Amino acid sequence: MKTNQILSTALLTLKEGVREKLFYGIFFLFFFLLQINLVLAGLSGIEQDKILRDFGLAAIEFSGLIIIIFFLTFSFFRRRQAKILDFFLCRYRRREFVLGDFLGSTLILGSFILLCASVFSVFLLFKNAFNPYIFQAVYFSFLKLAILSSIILFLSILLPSAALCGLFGLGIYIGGSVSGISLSIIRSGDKPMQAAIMQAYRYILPCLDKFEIKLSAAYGQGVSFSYFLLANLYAIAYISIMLFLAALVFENREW
Amino acid sequence: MLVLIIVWICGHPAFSSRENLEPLYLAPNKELAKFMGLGMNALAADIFFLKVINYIGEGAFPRGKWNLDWIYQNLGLALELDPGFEGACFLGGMIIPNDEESRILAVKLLEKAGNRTPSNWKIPFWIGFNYYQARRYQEAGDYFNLSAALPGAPGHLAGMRILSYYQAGNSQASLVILNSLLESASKKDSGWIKAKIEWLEKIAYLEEAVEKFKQRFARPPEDLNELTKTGIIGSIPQDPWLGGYYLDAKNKKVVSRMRSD
Repeated sequence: MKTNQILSTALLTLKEGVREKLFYGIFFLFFFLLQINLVLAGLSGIEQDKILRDFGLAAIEFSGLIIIIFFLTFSFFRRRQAKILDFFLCRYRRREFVLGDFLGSTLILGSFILLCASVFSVFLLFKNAFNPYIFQAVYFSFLKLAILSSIILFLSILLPSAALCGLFGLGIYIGGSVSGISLSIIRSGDKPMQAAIMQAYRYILPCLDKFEIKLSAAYGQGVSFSYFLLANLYAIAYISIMLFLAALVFENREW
Repeated sequence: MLVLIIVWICGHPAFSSRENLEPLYLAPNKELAKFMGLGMNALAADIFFLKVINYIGEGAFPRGKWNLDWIYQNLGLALELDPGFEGACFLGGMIIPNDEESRILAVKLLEKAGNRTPSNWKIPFWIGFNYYQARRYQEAGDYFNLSAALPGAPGHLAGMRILSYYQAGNSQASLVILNSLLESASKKDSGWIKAKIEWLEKIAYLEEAVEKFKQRFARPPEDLNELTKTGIIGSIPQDPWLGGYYLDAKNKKVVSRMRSD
């Protein structure tokens, strides 16, 4: 495996990404969501700081989700259609391309989230509602979206169209976010068979609910070091499996 | 031309009458609420809370006709999703209740919240306040006592139990409670409490003047103007809530046109 090939693919993906108008369009959407946040918090009269933090953190994740679904998915398929992918595949090995592409996508996602988090922090500082645990929640949102990004990459290789891939990605995001509560609802209904099926889904789908720490962050409470470590480990393991599967399919697929 | 068509359609009675449809006040159960929130419980809790704020704020119904069941279902959901949501407790437990029915719902909501955050001294204090308003002084005293024992509670809360048992239906006693309530509220929420304190302080001032009048003339005054005519007070203070103070003809107590709970 050649590290410089992975890095050059990643850098090319990143450059291509930040040059896209859509990247800034989605950032504008985030900024618009912040303005709505301000209006809503003003309406509440009570607990304005909490509402500002809750809505802002959700807006960062929502914008990051749009980056993945509409931007990363479509950019992969656009490269495929414009034969840019062929150029890459002539020069680089496929597994290196997969790794480099994921790394580039994660860098785009990371820079976008960092940009949003910085703007949001300044916004909170002006409103006297800042607390440093917000960065922990933002980092967990990043991990969540990085997992989703690896799944999207796998689906992009597997599925024939960008729209289908985006829809599947969105479905997995929703499924992964609600699998925990779905399991507890099914368990409360005394249906062992359905509960077993749901439990199996829970192992297959990413446990995105475990990365949901916005509530505690909004109150200025962080997660324990062991939880932080386990969450990182889970994300790395899941992403590695997805990249392995993506590389496996990509190696054996005719284009 | 197209813009004109859109404006015409928006203004057409058949199109705009949809707004007049009676809204259906339903709240989901807590599992469904968690599911629909996609795990973002903080955000979902804020949405249920804001729904109540919007309902109260839009003024579509007068206070007496509020759909209390729906209000407390939504606030209950907000607290299910975010057990530490103090704003939902304050809204449901302190701002909304103004009669027996709403106080029962408020106490239920606060008791649930108290079970989830047993170390928060404000929750039992607010429960005690509702019991106090309902003139159930024994329960009020018990909750004030419970609140005083919790970390962070202001020192004078311990004396609230005695005050409650004293059956403090007079304005001076209410002032003591409101001053402690002011300490429990955040800066942003304290405006209405300050207004209430000002309102009660003026009542207490007028009550004192009425007592002076009784001592001097061996009878209660006919109205508050008699207090100024006899020189006991210079002028009748202005009601901060603009209702105006007057002397109740039956029991000769100072009241205002906007009754305070």
